[in-house]
Amino acid sequence: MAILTEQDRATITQMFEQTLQEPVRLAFFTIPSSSLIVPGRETCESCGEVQALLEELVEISPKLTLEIHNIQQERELATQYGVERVPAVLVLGPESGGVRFFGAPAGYEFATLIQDIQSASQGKTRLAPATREALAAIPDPIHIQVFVTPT
Amino acid sequence: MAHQMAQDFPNVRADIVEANEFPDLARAYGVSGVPKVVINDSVEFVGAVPEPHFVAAIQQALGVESGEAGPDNV
Repeated sequence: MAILTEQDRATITQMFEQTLQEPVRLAFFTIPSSSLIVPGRETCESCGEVQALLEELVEISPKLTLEIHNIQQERELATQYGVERVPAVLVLGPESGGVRFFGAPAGYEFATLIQDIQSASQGKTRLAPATREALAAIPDPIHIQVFVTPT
Repeated sequence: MAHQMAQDFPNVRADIVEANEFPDLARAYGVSGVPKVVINDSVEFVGAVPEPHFVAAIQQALGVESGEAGPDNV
């Protein structure tokens, strides 16, 4: 079943045609669903739906690719990306790496995902010069967590 | 905004966390309203804020003196 409507698809197609420049990879960490629920085993309720959404999204532009990783089988890679939970989506442009979603990018967060893909592809954002200057002066790691609920 | 910062600066990692899917995290960080922003586990605020305010919160979390015209406390 398609998650994006025809209209969503048309809007995003046009947007991506106009804005995407460099290729962008979406790295998705998941626990593949099983038809059996084994007590005590980790499951991921929204993983299937998020994967379906991402698959539809990358079909829209040849500049987008999706890599799917099983967090239980690819622990090392998950650690490398700092992913401890699923579903996790990382938006990876030629230069970026720190843009991540934990949980379904639904509602308003879907718009954020689309925006992130565009900025990663263009390698530029709309941050104010003062913000750039202030952040450039900070060499230490900065970890920002934004808690949201679907709207 | 957090994601834009992470996009432009390699030392910035920005996570959007769906609070309902990770109640343990939401509890650990005392999330009662959204959006709630937590920086380096030390400085936090709730709601959308103007960019300079966000920057000031980062500077506070890192113990960096903020420049002139910083907002009051976050």
